[in-house]
Amino acid sequence: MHPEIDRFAHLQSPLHSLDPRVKIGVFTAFLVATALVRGPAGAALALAMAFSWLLLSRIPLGFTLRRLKAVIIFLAPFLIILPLTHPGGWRPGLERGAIVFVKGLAMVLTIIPMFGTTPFHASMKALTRLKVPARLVTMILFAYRYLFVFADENRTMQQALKARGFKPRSSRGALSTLGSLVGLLVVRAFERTDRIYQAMLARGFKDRFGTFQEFAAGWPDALKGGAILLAAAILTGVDRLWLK
Amino acid sequence: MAEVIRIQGLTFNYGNGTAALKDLNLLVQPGETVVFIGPNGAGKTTLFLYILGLLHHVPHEVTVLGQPLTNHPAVDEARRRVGLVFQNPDDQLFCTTVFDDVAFGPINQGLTPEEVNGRVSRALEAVGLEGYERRVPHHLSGGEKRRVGLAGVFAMTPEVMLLDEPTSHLDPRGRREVIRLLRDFSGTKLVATHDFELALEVATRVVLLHKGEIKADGPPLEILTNESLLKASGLEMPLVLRYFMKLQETQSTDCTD
Repeated sequence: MHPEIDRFAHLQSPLHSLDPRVKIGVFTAFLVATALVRGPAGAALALAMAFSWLLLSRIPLGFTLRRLKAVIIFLAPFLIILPLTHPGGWRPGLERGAIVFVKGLAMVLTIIPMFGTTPFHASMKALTRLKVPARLVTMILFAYRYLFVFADENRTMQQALKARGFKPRSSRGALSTLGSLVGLLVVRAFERTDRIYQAMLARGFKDRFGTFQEFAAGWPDALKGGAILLAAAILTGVDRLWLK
Repeated sequence: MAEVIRIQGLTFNYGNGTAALKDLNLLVQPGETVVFIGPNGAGKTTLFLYILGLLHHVPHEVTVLGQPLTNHPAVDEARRRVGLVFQNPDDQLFCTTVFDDVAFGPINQGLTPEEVNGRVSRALEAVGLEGYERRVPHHLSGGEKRRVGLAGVFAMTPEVMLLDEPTSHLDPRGRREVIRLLRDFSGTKLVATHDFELALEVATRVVLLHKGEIKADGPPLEILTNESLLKASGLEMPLVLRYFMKLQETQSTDCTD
């Protein structure tokens, strides 16, 4: 099973119909506003707003929650480390940790509908139109495209190990085997890059990734985009008021 | 008409010193389907990559469609007119949709959006994949990936096609489909393969490569029924021909009885 970010890009919703360029632009502004939040009221509001984007997108909650598991594991240490290290004591530390935790969740909950409501290739083309450097976009495209090949190769090699009786343990031998597996995957990925580059040259590639994509933004996009920007402005205003 | 590909005195070693091709000389005439056979490591893939200047060099020994490939502009022009289908479709399908991948070549040829759309539609139709434009490559079956790879090259309307193991890892139906596509392509074809039955079906000429050298070059039946020649190169006569020759032996024995 491949974990595509745009698995539900075929659905219908107010966010699905939003022009990808507008969508990425205004949600980026919302993400920046969320990142700049410093108080608990702002953090809570950011989370509530992000959750509302998710509901608007109609992306299934189960899909989102599964993806949040890794994010929660990554953010949870802040709830432990900051109370123990904050110069003001454990209570301000816990508050600071909670704000970081909630903001992180809000940002991920925003990114999921931001990229999950548009086919991935269209999102990348929108980035190019938004003047993100073409080379960076090409790198992201290739990383995404070959993530699945990498996952398939990893799965095949794991199956080959199991078929010969290997069991993951913390023993030196087992760790050495796993290390070799990772190393081999990296080497194969590197060799693949050479072949892919040859395939690109063979079809006339000259250091620029040309692409066609028809985008057409209209009044509905301006209204929806304006609403999201207004939400970002309200978030910033509430946070500033609370901090006063 | 002048030959399509001329190679004179080609010797190529990899950076680690491995001798890949040794003093190779080859002429390919227009319309030929030349099938290259040989064991693993014989130099078949290396030869195809070399012809299109894909091994970090300028292929001075090669002339394609009357143009000696002695500089980079000539190599670029050769890449526009000669299509290469890679052995592993995952190496060739590097875009996130089928449309983008098939359009990649025509876009690099500088065509307008309308022309690109037309080329993509016709190429997908030729390989029987109409309606696959929005499909994602990593969801396709092996046969479908192979056909998209072919479409990506067809869309460039090449005059010559180089195909590296076009039937490898395909089920019988996928293999049959690729053979049909090869037969439908009227230009010159060079095919590298271990599939001797494929050679029997499509080749007008067979070239046996072994350790970077051409050991034999001639009509398919002449090469593929030469058991000692094939054995010396680590190959075997195709099963169908072995049965055929056994049958002939049996019949001639019956006649003399």
